[in-house]
Amino acid sequence: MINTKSTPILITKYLPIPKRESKEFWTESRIQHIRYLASTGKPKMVWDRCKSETSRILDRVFFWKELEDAGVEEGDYEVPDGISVSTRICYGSIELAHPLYLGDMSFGALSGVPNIAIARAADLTGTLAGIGEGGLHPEVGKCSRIAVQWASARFGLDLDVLRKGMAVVIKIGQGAKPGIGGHLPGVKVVEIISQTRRIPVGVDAISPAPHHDIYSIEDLEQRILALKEATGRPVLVKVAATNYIPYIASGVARMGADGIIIDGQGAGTGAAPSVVRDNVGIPIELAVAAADEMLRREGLRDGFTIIAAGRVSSAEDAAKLTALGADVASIGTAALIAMGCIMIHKCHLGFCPAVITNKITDNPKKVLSLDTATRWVVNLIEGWSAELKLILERLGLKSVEELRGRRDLLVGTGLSDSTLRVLGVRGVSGKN
Amino acid sequence: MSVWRRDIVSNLRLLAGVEGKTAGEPPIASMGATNPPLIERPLFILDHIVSDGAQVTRPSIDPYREPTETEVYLLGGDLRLTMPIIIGGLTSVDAKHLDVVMLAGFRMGVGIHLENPPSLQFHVDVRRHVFLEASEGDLQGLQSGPVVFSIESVEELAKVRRAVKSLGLDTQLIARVPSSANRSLYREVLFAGFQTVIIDEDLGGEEPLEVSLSEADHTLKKLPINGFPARYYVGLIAASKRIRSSSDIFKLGGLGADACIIRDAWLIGVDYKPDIPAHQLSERIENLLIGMQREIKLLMGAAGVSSFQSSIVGNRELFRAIDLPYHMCERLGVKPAGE
Repeated sequence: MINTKSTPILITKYLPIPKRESKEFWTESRIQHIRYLASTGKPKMVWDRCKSETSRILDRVFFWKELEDAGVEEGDYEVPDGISVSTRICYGSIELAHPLYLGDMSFGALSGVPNIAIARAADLTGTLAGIGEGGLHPEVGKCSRIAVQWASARFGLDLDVLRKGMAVVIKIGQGAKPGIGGHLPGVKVVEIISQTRRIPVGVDAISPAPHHDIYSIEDLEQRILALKEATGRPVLVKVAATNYIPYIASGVARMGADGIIIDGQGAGTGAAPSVVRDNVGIPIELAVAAADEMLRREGLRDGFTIIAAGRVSSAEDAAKLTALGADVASIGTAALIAMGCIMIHKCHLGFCPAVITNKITDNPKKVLSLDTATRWVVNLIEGWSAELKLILERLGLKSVEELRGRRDLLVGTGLSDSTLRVLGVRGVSGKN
Repeated sequence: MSVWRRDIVSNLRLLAGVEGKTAGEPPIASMGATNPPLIERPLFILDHIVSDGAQVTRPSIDPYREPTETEVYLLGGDLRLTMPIIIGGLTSVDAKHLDVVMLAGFRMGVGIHLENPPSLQFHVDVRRHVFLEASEGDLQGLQSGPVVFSIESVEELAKVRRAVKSLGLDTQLIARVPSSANRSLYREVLFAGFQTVIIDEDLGGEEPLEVSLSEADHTLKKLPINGFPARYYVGLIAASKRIRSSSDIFKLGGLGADACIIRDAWLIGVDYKPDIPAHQLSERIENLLIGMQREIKLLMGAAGVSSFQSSIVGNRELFRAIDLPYHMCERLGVKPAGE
């Protein structure tokens, strides 16, 4: 028999960034900045200059210090000594060397190599990577700093898999599509995905919208306790940022979870109905501020972890979310961009030009280099952390934990009275 | 900046089957949203409003696997629409296509709003779905069924009522009013014998549609009649050529509309041209409507709601406003996001 397999081209370089036909949050300058961090592992800026291009609420929130610091020059920054960005989460049971969680992206949505690269980068940098809903890729399973996801379809889960990670994540919702389940288009359900998820080939994998055994807060408590007992691991609950987020956070804390991952509107997804993606859910900055406020008021904040996800694009975004009350920022899309994503919004079709979310085939023409992709993500985390240290230095703080909940360091410009009140931040007019 | 952003037009055309190969299916997208108010510039109050996703404290509903009802009853329960949609804007349609559009709408169980009606003979079942605009001084020619009168004041309401009564016509009266916060007008409709109010932004008025609709809903809810709020007897319909999508219809539902009249949305969605073949026009309208219904079901399911009329209409608590000032939130009765 003739072997028709040809050696695939190994992707080790970034593609050019295409021109945009409509407005985009991930602007060319944001992508360039992430690429710089991913290529060098060094800081590029202190204050996020890309935020002037978009009008997210977080883009209109500044540190007072930045307004005082008019025009710090671009250049080689000296990363300050003696500033700690490491943090402990889940009642102190997990130590993160950098306050970053690598967002839950499933095997199936991503094409394998990116999943492994993210998990290995978490191991190499001492962070934590969520594996997403699609079961455990065998190579990802060899990494230790992973959080195994228990989502509504229970794809490929058994006790061994649940015990593989440092933590278990109960996925209730995701920011791109609150209230509806995961969706892997049939075109991407190939043999290996079918085996990992234990589903038929070629059929859309649409996870149920609710967990059919969680119809109330008490049901959630039973699952949290059962998973803790079965695995001996801390349990995080991932929810989307929605109307009742403060009450949901309070409920999740009361029911014994170790933390909550709040995923904001505008977060990435491999596939979602556009009508839901565009019209359901609230931005992460409002959700984090509201949830943190409620948890503090009820005396539930200590030891409980808030991970903030959704359009986290720079160290400054992470710092501002920390000041609004988060412990850790989650990066998903930014990690994909570090691996070469050019944001053409075609993941659901299975022909990603950057071979990150493409359909897996037996005889691929192009494959992402695992070594390069891993290095890019590791560099991103290190460069990101260096920028975070520079921000902490400018703010006169010694550790990222000192920044948590320091809303007094922030100021909002061009924001409505209602928004400022939810953020708990003073407003000034002008700037925008 | 156009009302008809590229993504909105493309979404409608995918639903209608003008583009793509999945007519009638809610379009799928990937990676982060770019919609207003935070990325694209918001043009309307609707752009600031988001809907809820049910989670943890109550379950969401899976519309692929569980029943969700989009039907609404209008005209005091006499007219059942399968979804909260009425096709309008027929003045822009070639005369030879009027029948095609009306039959397609009727088959799908939606309403049809006919302005400047030519003298058409309707099948009696179709007629019940047609909101026929009464032309000045020609009440004699009306057949029984819903009749729409354009009205601007309380005095006009009474005048129309007298004229209809004197002719002994058996018609269901609908008042079409400009988009205003005229509370006394909304209060008087029921006493003048009208069962339904169409708040039509295209007739002008000093308020945005969202505000006047919300005011009308509030006013009628606060007015007790026989122990029930007047809103119980009076249907509210929102109309504007800038109602762009199923999500706009859904949000207007939350602000109090039992149904919406769509105009440019369906004309753009089916890519209407005077030379379009009748069968194609009909098929596209049906695809578009079934697709919009499915999108509404997805939004309902996400919010954990199984019935549009009983749980979405006027249920402002399911919605939140992103970056709208307090005074506007108060007028709409919608809380700011995060509160």
